[in-house]
Amino acid sequence: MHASPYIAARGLGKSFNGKPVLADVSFTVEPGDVVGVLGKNGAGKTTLLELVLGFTPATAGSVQLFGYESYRLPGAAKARVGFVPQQDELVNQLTAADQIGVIASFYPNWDDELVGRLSAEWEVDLNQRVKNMSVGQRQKLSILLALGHRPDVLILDEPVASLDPVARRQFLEQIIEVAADGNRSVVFSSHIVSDVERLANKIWILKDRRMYWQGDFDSLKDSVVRLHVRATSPLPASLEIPNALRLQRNGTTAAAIVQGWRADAHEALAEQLGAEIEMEQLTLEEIFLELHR
Amino acid sequence: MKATARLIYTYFTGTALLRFITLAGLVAGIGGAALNLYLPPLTGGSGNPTRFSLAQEAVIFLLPVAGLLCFVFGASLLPAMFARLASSHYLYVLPHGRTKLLASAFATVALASLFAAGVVTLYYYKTPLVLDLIFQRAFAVSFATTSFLYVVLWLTGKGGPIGLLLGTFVMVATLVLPLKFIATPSTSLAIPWTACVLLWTTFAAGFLLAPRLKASLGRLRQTLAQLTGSTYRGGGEVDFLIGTARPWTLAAGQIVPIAIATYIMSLASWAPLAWAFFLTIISVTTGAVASLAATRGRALWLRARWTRAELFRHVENAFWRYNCYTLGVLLLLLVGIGDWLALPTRVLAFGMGLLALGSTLSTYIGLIVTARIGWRDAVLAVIVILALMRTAMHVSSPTTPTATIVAYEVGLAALALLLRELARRRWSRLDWMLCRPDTSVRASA
Amino acid sequence: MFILKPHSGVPIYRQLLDQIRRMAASGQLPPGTELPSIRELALTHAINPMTVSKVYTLLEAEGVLERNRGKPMTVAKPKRAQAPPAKRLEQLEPHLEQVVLAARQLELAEDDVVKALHEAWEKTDAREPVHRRARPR
Repeated sequence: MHASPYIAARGLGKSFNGKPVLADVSFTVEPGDVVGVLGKNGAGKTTLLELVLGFTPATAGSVQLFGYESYRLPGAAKARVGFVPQQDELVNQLTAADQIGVIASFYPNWDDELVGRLSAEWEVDLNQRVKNMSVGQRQKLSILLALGHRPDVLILDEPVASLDPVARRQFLEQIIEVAADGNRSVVFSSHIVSDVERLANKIWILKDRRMYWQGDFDSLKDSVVRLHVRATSPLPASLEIPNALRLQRNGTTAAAIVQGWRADAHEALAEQLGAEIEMEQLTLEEIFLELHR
Repeated sequence: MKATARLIYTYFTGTALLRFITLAGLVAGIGGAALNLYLPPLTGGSGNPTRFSLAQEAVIFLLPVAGLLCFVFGASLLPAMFARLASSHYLYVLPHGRTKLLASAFATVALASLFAAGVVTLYYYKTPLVLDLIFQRAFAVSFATTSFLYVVLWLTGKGGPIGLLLGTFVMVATLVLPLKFIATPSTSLAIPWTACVLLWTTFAAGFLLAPRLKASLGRLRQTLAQLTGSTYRGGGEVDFLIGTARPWTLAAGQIVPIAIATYIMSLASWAPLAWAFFLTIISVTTGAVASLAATRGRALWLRARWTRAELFRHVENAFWRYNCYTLGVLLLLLVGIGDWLALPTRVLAFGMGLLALGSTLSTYIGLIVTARIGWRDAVLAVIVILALMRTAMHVSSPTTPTATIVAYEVGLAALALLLRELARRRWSRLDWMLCRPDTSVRASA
Repeated sequence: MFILKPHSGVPIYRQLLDQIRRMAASGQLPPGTELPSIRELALTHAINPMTVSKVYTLLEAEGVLERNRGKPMTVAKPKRAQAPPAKRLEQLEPHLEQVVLAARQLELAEDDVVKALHEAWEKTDAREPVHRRARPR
């Protein structure tokens, strides 16, 4: 990549009242990346996103957005960022149109046409008062508010938790449009692993307040696999498979979840164990579950 | 610039009702001013003023004031929107969000103050006083009071629509108070100006520096919470869920407006009437929390084995416990400051009864709100407050016979019983689909 | 045009890569066929455009696809004659292994499986006229 990364963090950490919430996290987000952030509740996903946006200062390390210290992001740089919070923060008394108007007035380049078109497609009634909207409608409105100024970096915290499958698919398509641009990045945390599976090219897995795994999504899928071992005679009790996260023996068969799998190790292992080994690739959800067992 | 303007515009026109009120205010204000300045005195058919023409003249005279009030209320979205945006993530992400939001609040208060100053100057137009000075004085005082008013509106607005209604009455009271202050040219302008400057610089500094102060603010909030005992103690479930767990915050919060009002009154020598008036209005703000009881009661009803009728009894008891604190503080202030202002004993005695009645009535009015607030409920609330104010006038006036005052207070007590019955009936038929909680209530709960 | 299953264990890019290679090698995608743009393909299947871009780039490097300035990617003319059946059969091996494994687990005889294969072949012939080749009945 020739361009410098949009987001760069080094040894980032955050503690509240002496209790660590996030520790030693480092990453970069390049233009064009779609990053999926996975983690159990409480693993630090929201804190991470808030640190990136500069809502709260880091207690260790640093994080930079567009080259600026996140906590002191200048106004002009803020115009290139979009954020969708986990719980909507709309003003209840206003109509959707007014709400959009108020937010739009802060940005020098607001795309009215885009917002108008999307609100029609997503069936968000602009004349409806926010307090009369359902939770899904409110979430859709929050997303629209983050898209209107065509930000270079879009950060979303559980953006689709309340959306029905149709709305989710519409949202996915919009993220794809953003990503197809090539110069814009998206970072989103979601429990709906199937969405992350479709969209992300980079995965961050937060576990126990640390960055447990990060990198290319395809290499994650190639790395964590399930091995099915089939031998002709019962397998020894002390059966050991390198890098196994989990191992289940059952007479002449065994199943193991292996991390750090390499295709060239396949034959060697089969010979070593004297058994047939079949490699099965896992879905992202299964990988996530296995990493957390 | 664009954002600030848009925010100000939204404060005044965000809802259909507000748009109407703002417009009505502008029309009444400007139209009324024009009429007052240029219309010759009205006369009846015979060339002499009649009762009707005098009544008309009174209306025309008061039109600019009505316009002013409408205009000020027209921006009542300011506190709610400001608070909502201020506590949101948006403020960190929107370019220059904090500055623009602050500027919009400042500008709105300035606009309202200009209008107020204009109206006041209008009334002094035909007098020999120097208009320039009057305008300045009026502007300075209005700026201080308008800022305060919006804060009051915000605090009471958090209590739902009834709270808002009650808050507007407090606003009216405090709008009226300083007029005397303006009219006495001898009192120095330094006080309101210093008050303004202090208030706004502290507020602005706090607001703009909030991100940096977040850590220490969080710690402060935690220690306060621990001190005021909002941590759970077994047995306090009803209080916790209904929202009556922290009576001390409201009780303490009453002290500030009372202190300010007392100071202004001691300068302007209005004591008895204004005092009674003001305290009555303040006693009524306890009803704001009661108006949320119905929506919050659902959580309680789901968990306890009570019928709706039993739920009402428990909630009612919770509010009596709650009101004891606020009432206690008010009574202390009444007696203490009343003594300092050398108010007659009769005023103090009946004043206590009045305050107790005020709290009771407002609580039951709050409990009556079991669905979206209809015009019937609003009218009822207005009637009750007017009745309270009328009684306050009698209590503070030395000429009214004691019997009349007693009659009034007994009447109010009877009204309270009536409201209680109404609330009880409504709670026995509570339909929680009709009083769906507002999400902002959920967020703050 | 393609069948992609984002939730199978196989990474999406690998699925797409294999499918395009297969179809180009077998002639299902004749040389000169225009492939959908990155954005179109990403939107149709709701997948990351970078995935599509990666596949296209890889295939361009392999010579399977060629990029024309201003126009969408097209299938390249094979540098040599269409890969011999033996080479193409190699690509089918993993699938054959799966079928054999399943058949063994179900304790089916080899002949039955071959017959079933015949029938399945006939069926797809009737269903997909697009990929048809003339087959003598």
